[in-house]
Amino acid sequence: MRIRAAVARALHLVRWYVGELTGDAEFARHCARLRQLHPDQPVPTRRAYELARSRRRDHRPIDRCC
Amino acid sequence: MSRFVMPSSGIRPRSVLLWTAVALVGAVGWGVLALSRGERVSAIWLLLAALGSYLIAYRFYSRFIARRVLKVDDRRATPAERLEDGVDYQPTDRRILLGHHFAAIAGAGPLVGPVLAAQMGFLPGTIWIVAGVIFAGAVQDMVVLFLSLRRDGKSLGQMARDEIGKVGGAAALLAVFAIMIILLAVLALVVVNALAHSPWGTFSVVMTIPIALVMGCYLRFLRPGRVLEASVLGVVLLLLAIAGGGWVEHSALAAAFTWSPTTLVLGLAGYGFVASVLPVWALLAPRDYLSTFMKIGTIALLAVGVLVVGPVLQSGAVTRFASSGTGPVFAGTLFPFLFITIACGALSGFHALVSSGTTPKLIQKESQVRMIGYGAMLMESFVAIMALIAACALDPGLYYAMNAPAGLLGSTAGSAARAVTDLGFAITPDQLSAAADAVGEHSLVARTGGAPTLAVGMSEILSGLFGSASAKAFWYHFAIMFEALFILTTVDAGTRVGRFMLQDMLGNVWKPIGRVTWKPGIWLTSALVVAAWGYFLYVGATDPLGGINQLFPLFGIANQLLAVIALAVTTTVLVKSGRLRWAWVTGIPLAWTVAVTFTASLEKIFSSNPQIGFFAQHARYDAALGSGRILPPAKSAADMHAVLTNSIVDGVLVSVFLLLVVIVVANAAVVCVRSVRSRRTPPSSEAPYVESLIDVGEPALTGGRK
Repeated sequence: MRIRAAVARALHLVRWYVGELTGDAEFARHCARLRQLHPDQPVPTRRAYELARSRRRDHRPIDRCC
Repeated sequence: MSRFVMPSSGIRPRSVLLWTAVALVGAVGWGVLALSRGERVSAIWLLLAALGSYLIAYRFYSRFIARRVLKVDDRRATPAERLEDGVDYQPTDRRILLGHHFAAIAGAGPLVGPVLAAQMGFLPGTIWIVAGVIFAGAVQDMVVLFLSLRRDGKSLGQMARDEIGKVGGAAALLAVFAIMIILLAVLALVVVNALAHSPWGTFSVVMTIPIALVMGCYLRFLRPGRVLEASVLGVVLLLLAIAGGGWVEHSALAAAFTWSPTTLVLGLAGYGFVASVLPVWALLAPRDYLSTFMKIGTIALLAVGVLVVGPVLQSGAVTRFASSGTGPVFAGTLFPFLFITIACGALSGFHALVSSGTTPKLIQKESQVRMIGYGAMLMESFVAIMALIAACALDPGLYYAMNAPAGLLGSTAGSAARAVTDLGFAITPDQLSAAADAVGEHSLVARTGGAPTLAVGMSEILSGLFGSASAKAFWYHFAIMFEALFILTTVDAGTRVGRFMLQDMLGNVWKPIGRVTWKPGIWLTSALVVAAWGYFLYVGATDPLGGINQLFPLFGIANQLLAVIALAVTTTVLVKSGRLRWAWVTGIPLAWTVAVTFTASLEKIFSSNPQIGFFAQHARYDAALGSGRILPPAKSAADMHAVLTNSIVDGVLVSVFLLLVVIVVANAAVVCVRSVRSRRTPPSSEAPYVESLIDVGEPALTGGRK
């Protein structure tokens, strides 16, 4: 049982890390922030959020080194 | 100023025992490397020496810098907390930010430089990579990150202008732009040399474009934001593309993917332009996701491979080229040329741009600059060590047959074997052909640039790890793809950054071109940036003397000159903020880097040896052309004219770089002397103190003793 729990914990950690690293989790965080700070404003759909996010990236350089 | 308190003062015996053991392991590793002369040395000793040193440096030196020099204060809110907008500024978990920062700083540089530097043996390169990162590279990254953090995430250029003055700031901005052009050209040249006349490699790398477009469409139209799903899809398609390349090589399609260096140059320039003007979602972002996954996964795989296989180093500790300076891979003696050949992995000025870019806007707590700034750079250094191992584990005969310029080796296995034997190493034409066959290439002769050599080394290690010699060709092309993916991502992103910088600069002259949404402005500036690096790429790919041989020193000098600017800014800030007694922390690496880069630049400008000095080279070929002679490796009058033009352009470029950096350093020195003489601390340029309300569940680190 202890091993199973440890494996489950490790898998959860990997899922969390990869989700955060790729930005998959950003939408959920944005919605939570919006609900907390502006409860009167509607929460955007994922598609609308991602469109706005990629538009922002268009006007900002991406840091990549040699 | 707030009073700082040490969180704990007790010395725990377990901790003492642990760190003594780490120090001993590292010392034994260094001892074996230092005392071995002529014996076969396992790469494991090199790994132990490096890892032991990294751990000690991280635990003690980075902590000293954080507490005593920078006086980090976790009670002070970071810009991510104060200015949180959920977009540019947001407190991010330090482990996630470490991953992002590492992915941003680690490119092909730490893989290529050490491979070329292996010509001097494994010991000089190892010492520079480890000592350089501990005392210079990681220090630069961490201090720049901290200073930018205290200034709301200001860029290096802005900090140079604020701290040094307008002239120094403008020179720094120009230098950064010019240096970036050379960096992009040389990195692209590495890809050209790896893919020229290789249908397998070309096919698999070309396929990354449709794969990225498919990923982009998946993320845009089918499953917005599901980056993990798209990345898994991309990685699977990528592996299929590598396997498919093997099939293409033996099919009728091979001719369609057998490209000359000039065709590849045109293809890369066209690709760079399109990637820069297309929306990010279509090409750049998906390629970036793919590159990050491949980067982290492959580096981890290589680390496991080196640990399990434990390859033997065959290059010798120090070769005769270290002192004679007559090495075929790059000309010049150990000092200063080793230290510019290995830039990324030891000290890379380009990192200062990343450390003063996105990362400082995402840090939760000031003390995390240690893990993210210093720690990520140690990780990059470890990548460089693995690249050095992969190159030094190769048979020296094969190494020189791959890395000496074509002008010296000729074009056949027979001519290359003879040239390598003349250099004092042994390889037969049959061995050379067999090595090429094993990795699925027609020839490995003069595959300069470092990428093919690393790929051969990686294929040896990875096929050893999985116990299948027949998979060598797959792993070779996997490694080529992995390096090309890194480089093309840097070319995409770098062209875009260059375009923004140019728009910013030209916007001062003519406003519309500065608007980031005005399409003609975007096209014009993108075309100018691509034309600039495309010119140097073309020159490098067609240079009769060997493009890597000529341009790689420029790349190293450019990158290290950028480090001079970053270290000059950090030292100036330490002096101006009343921390003169600690200014040596960045001042000593600054003095060292000035000595290295200025010596290398001056040798490149004034040396009377035509192998080293660009103008001496010009004079030699000019005199020969005047008397109607063709000097080998040039084969025609056109080749002679190409050498004449290239040597003048390269010589002038080094002179301009040096002049710009001299202006920055001189301006910084004047500011420092004024500051010391005035005995008054000038008004701080830091953002005002605001108390942090974030609790990260750890004891607060609140600076060092006063």
